[in-house]
Amino acid sequence: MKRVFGHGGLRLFLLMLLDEQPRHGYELIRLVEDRFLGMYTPSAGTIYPRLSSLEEEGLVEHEEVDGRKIYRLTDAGRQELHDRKAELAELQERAAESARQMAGAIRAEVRDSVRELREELRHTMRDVRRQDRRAGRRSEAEGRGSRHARPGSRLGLQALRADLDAFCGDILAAAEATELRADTVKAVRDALLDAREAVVAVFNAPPAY
Amino acid sequence: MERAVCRDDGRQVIDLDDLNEVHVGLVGGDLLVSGTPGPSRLEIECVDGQPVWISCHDGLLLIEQHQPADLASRRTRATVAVSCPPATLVSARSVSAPVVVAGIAGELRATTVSGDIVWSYVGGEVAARSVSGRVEMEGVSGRLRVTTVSGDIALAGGYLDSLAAQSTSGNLTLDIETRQEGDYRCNTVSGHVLMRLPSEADATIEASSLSGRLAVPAAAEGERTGRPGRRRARSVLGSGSAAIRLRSVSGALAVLTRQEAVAV
Repeated sequence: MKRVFGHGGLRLFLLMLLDEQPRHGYELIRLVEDRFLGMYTPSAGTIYPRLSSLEEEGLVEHEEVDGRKIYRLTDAGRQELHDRKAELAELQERAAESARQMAGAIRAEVRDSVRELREELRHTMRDVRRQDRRAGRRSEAEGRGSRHARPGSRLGLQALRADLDAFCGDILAAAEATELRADTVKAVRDALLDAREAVVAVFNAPPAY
Repeated sequence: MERAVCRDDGRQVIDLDDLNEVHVGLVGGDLLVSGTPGPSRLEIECVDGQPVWISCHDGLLLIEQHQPADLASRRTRATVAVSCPPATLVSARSVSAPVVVAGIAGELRATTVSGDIVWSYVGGEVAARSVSGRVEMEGVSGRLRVTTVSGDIALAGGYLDSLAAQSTSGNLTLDIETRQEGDYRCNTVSGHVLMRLPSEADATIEASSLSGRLAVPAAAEGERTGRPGRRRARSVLGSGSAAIRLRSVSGALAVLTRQEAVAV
């Protein structure tokens, strides 16, 4: 939509609006919007810096009324406007008669918004799916099973859990039946670490076929 | 006022008395209608084909360009831009011409075959129908009905009292704010529906699909109910005042809320 105004166009347009009567910033935004068929809405971030630079040039001055800045044209501003009458007429002509370009510009703008929205939602959905997968892995590790697990895995997990429970039960029962000395405990723990390593190696090994 | 604009006339700019109703029928070309507080005006050019007929009486503007049956292969094209008060009733038909509308807040409807429907900041009673044209809207408010066959539907930001969106294979991408007691329905056959709501949305969401994936916010697995063959998910956000109903045959249905990501 930037091409609605060529270089200096918006500046001139603001001077013209302030020549009609003193106005505050929001009113200027709305008036520019009206003048351009509601199709170009300058943001506050466009208008206010423009006003302060006009003020620095001495073309515009402001006073505070009820906490709001009311801008008015200075004599120098009126002179500037007078000097550039032809340019202004051309600008107004363009604003009124560029309906076809406007259609193109509106299309481009809506299309941009839609594209941004699609991108954003696609990313969000991807994040959601990624979180789902992570949650799936977590619940699997916690032993609650998961609908993301491969179908065969669930039965396998149940079998393994039963085996591990039995394994632990056997070892604890043997430990309770023995008088546990420090070196015995150490020996058992070493054996368990060895066993753990052997088991993990099975998981990491590629399939035999 | 009645007149015809021919190819040799070039671009005509016609000032009009204030309009309260606009009806346009085009084949190809471009159509722009914009609501503006200023005086009504019409910019028109017959680019190709038969003359464009214009009639304007008592605030009622009619514009029509016909495609003669015996010259079906010949291109019929016109560029039409209407500026009118925002409260004007606007009705447009086109075959391939895109219908671009901005700033109309009374009653607005458009029907196209392959022409895109692109609307920016419109409101009131709003209806868009297209066969294969895309429907893209930004900042729409009021009551909206959208129907397409294969055209995608996208709403980038809207504050709607109600929504009835339907498509056969077109996808729906919707970023909307709901109202209390509002009613929002989307129906597709194979099109996907992806809807985003504000994080503080106050709505009851019901999604149901024959074979499409469902994802709605905070729907625990236990809340998934359903008879065999149809999947359903239900979720209540806030006090659940607005009703959102999504249905599809095979299209995926997903609802997200802003900021927080939502698990299936």
